[in-house]
Amino acid sequence: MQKQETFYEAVRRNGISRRDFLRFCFLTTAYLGLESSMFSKVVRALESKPRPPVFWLNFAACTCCTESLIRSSRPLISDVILTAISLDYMETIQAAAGHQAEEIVWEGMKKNFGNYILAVEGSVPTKDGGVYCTVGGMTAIEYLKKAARGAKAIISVGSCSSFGCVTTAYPNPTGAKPIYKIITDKPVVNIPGCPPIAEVIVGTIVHLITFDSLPELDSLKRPKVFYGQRIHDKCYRRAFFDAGMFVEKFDDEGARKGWCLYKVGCRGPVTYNSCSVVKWNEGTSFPIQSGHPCLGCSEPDYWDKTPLYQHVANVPLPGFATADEIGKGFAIGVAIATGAHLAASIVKKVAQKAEKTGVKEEKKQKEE
Amino acid sequence: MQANQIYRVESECVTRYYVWDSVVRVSHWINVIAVGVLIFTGFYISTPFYRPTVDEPFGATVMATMKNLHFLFAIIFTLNGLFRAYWFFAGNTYRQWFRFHIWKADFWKEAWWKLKDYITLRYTDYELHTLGHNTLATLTYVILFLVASVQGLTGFAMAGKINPGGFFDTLFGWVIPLFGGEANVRMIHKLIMWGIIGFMIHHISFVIYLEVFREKGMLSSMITGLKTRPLGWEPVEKPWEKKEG
Repeated sequence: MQKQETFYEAVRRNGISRRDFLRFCFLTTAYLGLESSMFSKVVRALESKPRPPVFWLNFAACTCCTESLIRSSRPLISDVILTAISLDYMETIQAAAGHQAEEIVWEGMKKNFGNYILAVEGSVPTKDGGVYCTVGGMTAIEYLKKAARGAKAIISVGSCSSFGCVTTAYPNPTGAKPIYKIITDKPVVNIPGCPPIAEVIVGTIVHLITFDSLPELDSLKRPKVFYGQRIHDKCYRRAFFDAGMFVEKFDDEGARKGWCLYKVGCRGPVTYNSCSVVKWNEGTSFPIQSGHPCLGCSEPDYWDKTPLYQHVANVPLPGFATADEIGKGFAIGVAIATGAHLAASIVKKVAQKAEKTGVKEEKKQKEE
Repeated sequence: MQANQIYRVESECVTRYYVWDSVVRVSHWINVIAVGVLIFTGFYISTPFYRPTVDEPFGATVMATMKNLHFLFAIIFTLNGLFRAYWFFAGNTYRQWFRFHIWKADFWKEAWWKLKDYITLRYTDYELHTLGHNTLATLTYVILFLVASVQGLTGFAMAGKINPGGFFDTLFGWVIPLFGGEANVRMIHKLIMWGIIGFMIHHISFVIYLEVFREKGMLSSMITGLKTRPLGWEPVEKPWEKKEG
């Protein structure tokens, strides 16, 4: 590999105009929540810094993250990933296969040791020595550990690699674990979502290139700029929530008029993502806009917080379902116990009184 | 014990002891109002049962009002609770922490004895200090305080997320990862509410019972501050060490 070309050179080589390049820079600056004066810094960084190689590893996942990424059609984003950011290895879309493909990875990683970005899609099964997911004859754990050795940063793309998603859902037969639990000595960014929004993936990578550092992360290692607020608080149906106008069933009047989906289980109020701001597919729509409640796919263990069409999930205890059922049972139990106790107390008290008056009467009778 | 400090009024047939000072009484009724509003609005927020008859959302603010009321009364409840916790140390002889000796065997013996005393329907009056709360009741209220604190923590953690990085979020944001996500925090908040409802059922029916059938003045004492005991009633020292009979 000769001297690494910059992001801008790669973009130009692929026949993209400077105007489109600037537009990408501007939008990404906005997505990253940076002030407009940072725009020139982003442009300069992408013009001058060598584009970092990205290796994209697929483990136990459904590849929906890849789908999300390559189907994005905001200016340049697919091109950014496919050409400009030098995606050196991605099993789903690369031309090479078999031994050839594996050679490319390890050679590329050796050349760029300490400089490349590792994007990981999917969780890593750990049970029985990790045999449930193997790539090129290696188990996913070995593969990941070897690949992570020279990585500058690791981006966990999607809920599987961030928190586990469906692969770690109960009873988790393969013992799958999210990436941050396996690689602890490297900076890891979680970009959860099933799949995550393409703009969010790209935005995080651009931030890495521009500032040579990870964006500010929250307690779950998610970039704050994209995962800092609830879907609920930026939802365009929020007015219906505040007014108290809710969809009761999926085919009622409210559903047709686009009222709030809170009562049919919308997890927007507990989900941190930018769906309601960035939206999907060129800003066309997002689940709530198309009339479906948010499932909370970017939150940890969302598959286990079932049923998904109920706002407060069931209590994970056998024999019980909702917090309300347990609570009602408890309250009724207390009421019955208290009632029985009080009734017994009253009966005893009355009996004591009757006894006393009986004794008194007996005395009176004796005196008489 | 400290009988000389205790204000008592003797009438023809009963002795009245001044047990609850005005701070305790006011704080109690603030709690009643706050918990009532919190449970009502909380139920609405959890399962909106009323729909305004408007066609456009700008015509009504039912949910927003309920949430604002919930936050407002949560703050009132919390401040009241904090002040009440302070009054545990500073209040009159019946409300002090020196009774709360969980590290001593006597405390647990007394609590266990009192539990059996209730279950076997005896309702024995014993030491003078128990005019306020007996050991079992003290234990219950301390547990209730802790449970209510968890309720406050989970509640403020959720409220803080309206403005991430803001005042409440900075103070209480750590609660959410502790319980494994906001969905779980909501579930716990709701479970605790039911626990408090269960407590209320027991509490209210018992004070009414003790007022009406036992003439201990439990209900009226929260208004007048006076509890009644029969004339010539004498406290008993450590009744749990005596044999049954």
